[in-house]
Amino acid sequence: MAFNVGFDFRLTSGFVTDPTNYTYVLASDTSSSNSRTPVGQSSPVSFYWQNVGGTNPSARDRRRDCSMRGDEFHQQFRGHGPLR
Amino acid sequence: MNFINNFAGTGLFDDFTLTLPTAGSYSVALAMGDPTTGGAQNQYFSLFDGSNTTALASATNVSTAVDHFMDIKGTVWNTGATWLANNVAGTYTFTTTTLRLRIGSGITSGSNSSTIACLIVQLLAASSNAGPTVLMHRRNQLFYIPT
Repeated sequence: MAFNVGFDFRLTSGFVTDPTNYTYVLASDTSSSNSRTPVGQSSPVSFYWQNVGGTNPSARDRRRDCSMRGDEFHQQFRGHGPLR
Repeated sequence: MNFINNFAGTGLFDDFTLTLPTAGSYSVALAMGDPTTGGAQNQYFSLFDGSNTTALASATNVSTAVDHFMDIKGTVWNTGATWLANNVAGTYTFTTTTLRLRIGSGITSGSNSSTIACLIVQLLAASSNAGPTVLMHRRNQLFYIPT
């Protein structure tokens, strides 16, 4: 059983293209039935923002969010090596 | 990034809730920060195993300057590249199949926002207790071996 998933938190799904093993998380992912299949994987992963106390998270698209770091953040998934 | 204002109010948090495939040992890496000009922030987070209230990892009011990222150990690295080269992931045992990452200060007097950019979760070893219950049949008696 393998489970190796990266989550890129951002405002809009199409802001960037996610690399292998990654998926995106939007501030609007507040349904407990939310699921999404990471790039290159076959099984969906279930996740959501649970509102605790009445305020949903906000979001922005940022050029240096991990989705933009193809040569930086994402390196650690190459070969499924150990995470730092 | 997703974020919640630290001055939103007492009791106001948001929990990123992830369903894990099995109980077991996981590597968890976290990047909290804001790369944007004017993006100095203050980071609050707690990592929980299911509904347990004792945090596996946490940070309280850790300042991150613009384009600095805090790892799950609370160490702040300047620039994402430095975070990548040096960040330390944590290894945590989950007895449930729910990872819950809480962000936000939960107070009314906090500064700035708790900003999450990236979370990486990797299964290292499934729990040996994660298998099905074993049944033994002996002289018409059933014995349950607790898992």
